[in-house]
Amino acid sequence: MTELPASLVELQTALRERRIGVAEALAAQFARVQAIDAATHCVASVLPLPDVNASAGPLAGIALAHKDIFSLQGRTPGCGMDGGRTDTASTPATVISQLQQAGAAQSATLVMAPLACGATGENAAAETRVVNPFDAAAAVGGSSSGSAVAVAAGLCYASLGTDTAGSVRIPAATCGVLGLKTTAGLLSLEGVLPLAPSLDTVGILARNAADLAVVLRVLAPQLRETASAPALRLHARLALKRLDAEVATALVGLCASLGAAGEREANDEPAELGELTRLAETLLHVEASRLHRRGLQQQDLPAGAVAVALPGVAVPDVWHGAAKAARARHARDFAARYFHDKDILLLPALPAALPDWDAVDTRSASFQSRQLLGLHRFMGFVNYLGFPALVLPVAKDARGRPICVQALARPFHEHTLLRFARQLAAAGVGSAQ
Amino acid sequence: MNATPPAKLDLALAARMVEAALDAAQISAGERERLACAKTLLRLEPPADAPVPPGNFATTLLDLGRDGGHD
Repeated sequence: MTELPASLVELQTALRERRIGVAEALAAQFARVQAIDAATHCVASVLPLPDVNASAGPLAGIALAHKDIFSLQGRTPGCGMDGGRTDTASTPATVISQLQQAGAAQSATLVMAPLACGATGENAAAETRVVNPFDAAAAVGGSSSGSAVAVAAGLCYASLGTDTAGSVRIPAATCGVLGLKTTAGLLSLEGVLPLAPSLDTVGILARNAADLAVVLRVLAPQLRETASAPALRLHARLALKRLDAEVATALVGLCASLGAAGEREANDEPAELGELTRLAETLLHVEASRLHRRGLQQQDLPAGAVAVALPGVAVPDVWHGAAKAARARHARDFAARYFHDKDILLLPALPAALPDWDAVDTRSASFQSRQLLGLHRFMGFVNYLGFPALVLPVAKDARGRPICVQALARPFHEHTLLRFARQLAAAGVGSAQ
Repeated sequence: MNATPPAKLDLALAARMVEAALDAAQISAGERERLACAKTLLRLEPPADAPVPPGNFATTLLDLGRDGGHD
């Protein structure tokens, strides 16, 4: 059995130096799928090994796996409702096409919360719950649950997900991997099931910043990157009053070691968070209700989608219009406040140590709504602002589960976030552990 | 199209708005779901601020991306 390197970048090097062949590399990556799925239940469908002679480009020999929300050639996505369907008329989503043109193969589609509605991987249609590779008792965030599990478990080096209100960042935080929510409008949403079009973004999950950067360069080659740049200027708003002690201690220690400014405000979350979250939820509910109107009428939507879409039916149009109209002003105000002399704003990812699965599974007797709502707390407002955000692990809690931080940067400064992640990794923190 | 809401909501008013909107949209929902919707409306009610001048969000993001930063 071929031994695969630990990272995508190392595999690229091995392929370039011909220490491993494209066919051999792909066969080894495809061979992992079923064994990892058997242990974690993260796969929606296994895809066939492609013709390796067709592989050319920077990702030739690399097999990725993605959330089952992207249209593929000849296959419509299952979107957490079923395993997807053969459809000869289906063409690949633009982002899938971009990866294919760079030579990437796709080994599997990955499970998700139904219709991308859910902060966890809970899915009543699935026979078995998706398993967190860190700790089988720990929750798996959603809605891109399969993407986070697949990356954490080593099924693939990187995975695409979608993030409308935290759906890349929450699962990444629960599985201890990097999760990048991209700037609004940076990556194409063509061929992707929408939830709330003005908030929807495609995101990338990976185990380290270098691997994530490889995928990002393929999808967004226009983004600026500077090989050598001045030290990053960091600002922290840790919202310590809102965090449990274990998370607060870890994040305070991190910020102290990095020399991040903002100590005086360390107790407070950004003052705008409440208002921005209200505006984000207004857009989310209204836009989801418009997309799922027929499903609401026919009463054939899963419970999570009803919870998101139904309230939007009653939201006055004038509220939705006002929320959209205020977006540009809020983005300008936020940038002026936090990025006028800083490159990175550090925020918590999750307010508490990673809960048990049963605490956030609505079907469980141990379900606690507070724990489930907490997963969202620092997420949705970023989608409203449209800024890029990266969640990355920085410590472990007493049970060995990941504690993550969330870093924000100016629009289209995704590579600044990845540079920050590399800086942390160089200091011994930040890469998936 | 949903009607313009009254100046300040309370739960009873929000419940009536939900009732009217669901009926108009021909959507059936249980009592618990309707109550949850009404509570969501209370949470989403905007403050009574002056109207915000519309701005182009996509252009604003591009402008903000050009300003500052190293990468």
